[in-house]
Amino acid sequence: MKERALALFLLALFLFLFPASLVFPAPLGPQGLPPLYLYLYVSWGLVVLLAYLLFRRS
Amino acid sequence: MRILVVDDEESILVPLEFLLKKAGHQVVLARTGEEALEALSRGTFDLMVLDLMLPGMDGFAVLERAKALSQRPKVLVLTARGREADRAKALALGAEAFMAKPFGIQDLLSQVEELAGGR
Amino acid sequence: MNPLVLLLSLFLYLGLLFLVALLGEGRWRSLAQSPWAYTLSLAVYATAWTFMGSVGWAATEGASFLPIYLGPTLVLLLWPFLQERLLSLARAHRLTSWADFLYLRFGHGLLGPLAAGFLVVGLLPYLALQLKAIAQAFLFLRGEEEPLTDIALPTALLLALFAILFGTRRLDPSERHQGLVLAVAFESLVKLLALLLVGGVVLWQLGSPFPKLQNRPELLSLLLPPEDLAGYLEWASLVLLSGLAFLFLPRQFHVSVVENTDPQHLRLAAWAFPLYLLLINLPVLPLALFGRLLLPEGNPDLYVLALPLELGNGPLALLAFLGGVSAATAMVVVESLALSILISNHLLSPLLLRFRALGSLLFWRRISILTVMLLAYLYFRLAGEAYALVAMGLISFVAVAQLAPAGLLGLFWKGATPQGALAGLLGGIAVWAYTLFLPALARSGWLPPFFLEGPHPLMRPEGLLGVRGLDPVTHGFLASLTLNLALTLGVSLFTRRMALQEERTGEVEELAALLRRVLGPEAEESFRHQARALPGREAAGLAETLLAGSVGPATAKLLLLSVTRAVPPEALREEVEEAARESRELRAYAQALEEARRELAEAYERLKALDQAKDELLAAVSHELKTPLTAVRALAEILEANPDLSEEERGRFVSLLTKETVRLSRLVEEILAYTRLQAGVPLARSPTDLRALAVEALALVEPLARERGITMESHLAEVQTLTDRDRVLQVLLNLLHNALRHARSRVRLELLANQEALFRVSDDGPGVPPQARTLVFEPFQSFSGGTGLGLFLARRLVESLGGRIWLEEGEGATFAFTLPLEVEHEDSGGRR
Repeated sequence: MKERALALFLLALFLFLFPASLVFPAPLGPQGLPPLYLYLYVSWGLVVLLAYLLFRRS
Repeated sequence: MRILVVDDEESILVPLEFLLKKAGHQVVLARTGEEALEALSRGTFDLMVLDLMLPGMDGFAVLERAKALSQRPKVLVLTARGREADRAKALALGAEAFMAKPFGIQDLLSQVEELAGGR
Repeated sequence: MNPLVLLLSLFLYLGLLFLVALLGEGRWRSLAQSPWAYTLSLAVYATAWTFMGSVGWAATEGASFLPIYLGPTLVLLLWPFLQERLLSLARAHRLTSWADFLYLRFGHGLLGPLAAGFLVVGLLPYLALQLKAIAQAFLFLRGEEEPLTDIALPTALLLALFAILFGTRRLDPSERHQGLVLAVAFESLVKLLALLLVGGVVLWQLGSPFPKLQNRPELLSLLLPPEDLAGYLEWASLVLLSGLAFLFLPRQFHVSVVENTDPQHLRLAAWAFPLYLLLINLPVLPLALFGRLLLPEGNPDLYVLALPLELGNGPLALLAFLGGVSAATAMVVVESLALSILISNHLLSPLLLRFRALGSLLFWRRISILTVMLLAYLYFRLAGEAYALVAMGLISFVAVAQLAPAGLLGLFWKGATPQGALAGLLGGIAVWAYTLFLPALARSGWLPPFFLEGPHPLMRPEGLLGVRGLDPVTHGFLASLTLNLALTLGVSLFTRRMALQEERTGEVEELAALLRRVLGPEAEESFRHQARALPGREAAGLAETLLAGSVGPATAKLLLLSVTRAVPPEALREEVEEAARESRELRAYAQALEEARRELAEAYERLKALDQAKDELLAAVSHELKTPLTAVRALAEILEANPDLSEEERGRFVSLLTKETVRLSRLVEEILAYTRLQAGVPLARSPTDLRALAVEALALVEPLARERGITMESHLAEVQTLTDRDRVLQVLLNLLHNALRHARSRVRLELLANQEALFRVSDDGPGVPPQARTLVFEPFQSFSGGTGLGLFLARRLVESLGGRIWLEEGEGATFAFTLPLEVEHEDSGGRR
């Protein structure tokens, strides 16, 4: 489990520190919603989900 | 002399009888302490050659009884038991002489003569 | 809004919190220790900063409000690595703070107080921001413009009171406050729901804010990601900074480590807490945008309250107020409690010890809480006005992060030395103060502007080494942490590792008395119970741990000095153990020597006995020899001296001579047999016809029988067995001779076979007297002219042949012995 936790950590690190300005230069995007926030919340949610899946096994 | 020889061993009595008879004495044999006392009661003896190790009544007892009799024969204790204590006890009970087995014939005869002469 | 309503609802809510705390200590204790309560208690991380400051920050700075919550998310993903090191360590040593850990790990007496003192100062901005938030909110809702300061002081005092009530009701060596945990969890739920509700209602009533931004480029820019390097550095720094803060904030350490009842709770917290953070941040952007749109003149930090009011929703505004107050209160209570523990353990305890005032620990804790809150108020007065809430909080974050190099390196790197930790911490503190703390005070006008400019262009507090364009927090963070880390690493590499700490050992009684004196009778009871089976050294360690939880590790050590004595350190201990081992060996050797001596004495006794027995044997033997020898000698002499004996007489003498000679030789045989038995000559087994053997024995003794006039009877069965022929013959002859010696008229020999071969020799003599029956087989017990060895030898022989021999009851004397029946097996490849 430790290796997977480390892997998840590195993934989250990459996602959170991603230089989003390179990819989402515009303030508004799909559905009129800010792409930066969409990206951040979605990736954040994804990390939470993965953490849930990883750690829930006892 | 009339000699009473008391010993339970056949092989002792026979040579003793022979020797003493040859020396001219009268010999009566007894194989047990009872026989010896019986013999003493029936007749008088000048000397008793007594073996200490007897079946039934012990040699010391015979010695005592014999010395309690009126005739009081002299006693030559002759025994394989050569301990000092036995010697002392025998002499204390009144024995005149003490000889240990094995003995030489000559020694025995001279002892007997000695005792006879002391009479 | 009516201030009375505000105050009443405030007190009601706080009362409710207090009630929850009481229940958490009592009936709801199991709930307080559940994983969900633990997870929600971690949300004390979200303070008025989160509730109100985030919206303010998002409204002016954009997305950089968010990385503060990404850091803790990342840190929690690594909980498996941290759990073993940190949680188990904390549990084992009753660590109540990072300062405790630093002292434990590095042992330097200066580290604990330095860390504790620095943390107090460093957290003042954070505490002050809570005061400011509450005061601002209260004033805003009350609708007046009274100076903040008048409200802030009572707020500070009120919060101090609550902290005292929640956290210092009793002294628990483990510093667990279940009620507090439950109250914090409850209020975390309240603030989450409150903020979500506010956001939800606003969105519901006003719709999406994004379309309304079309012609507001300055607002659209809030939605952009950080663009240049400076912005990106700020983003990345905030992620890292918040992660470190999550680890090292005293209140976070307290709720996540000290109050942790089960490490497995982290399983839930690792995903549930990031989820919480995600959820609580959802309303922030919409609220910020609407605030900018609808309340362009207002204080962004107050948008959360202003928007409901703008919508005419008084109760919602009240709820938002309570949410904010709740968040601030929770932070203050837990943080000031944690700080008071730090202060009492590392700053006060040594002093208290010197002045023998340790009995009043709780009192001093309360004083500490009050002092801290007053200092926070002071900071608020000095520097609070000029800064936005989040900016104040970030200064504290950077302060707290200064513990990270020493703490993390100490946790994971064996090479970290006390000197390195100290150097790093001092360097970090210095840079933090220079780049963040003092400029904040200068900016509020309490320090000369010199502190904003620096002595030299390269030493600008907010732009060291000529770096420009970085915001002060990022700059201060990077500068301080870089120096801190560099010094910690560098100095550690150049200094030796610390010598092993001297251990102490003591008596349970004295240790228990000490615990009673300092911590009270319950602690003494608990200690006695645990220390029942512990050796002195471990009992002392346990006592130290228990004490350290309440007075700090340094003071605990000092206290123990009086009731324990030193155990030599490792290197010396080895010598001591070596010496102990040697002395043990020596004792074992002496014991073995004593054993050997005893055995020797016994053997000597046995030898003497044997010697004596041998003498007796010799005596008996010689005694036995004498009689036949006498006869032989006499008879031989007679025969020699009297050649003219009659034939009859001669014959008689010769036969006697023969008989005695035979007797002699038999005796010699017996003695030889005895010695052979003693020497253990092995049996010579051969198939033997026992019947024939019996017949032979009878033939051998016939002359003797005839001479004594004894009739020999026999009843012999046909028996074959595997045995030593000579020995059996010897036994038979022994018994027969015995029988013949004692018999009156009759001797009977029987041979039977059942499972064994049974020989029976009986005579009609006087028998064996009762007292001699038991001794009849013993050596030298002759009671009638025998060797005294005969029966003894017979027994030895029979036993060596594998049989038994005994004296039977009845008239006369009947001796019986058995032989095992053995048949020689053909070697058919199986048994032999």
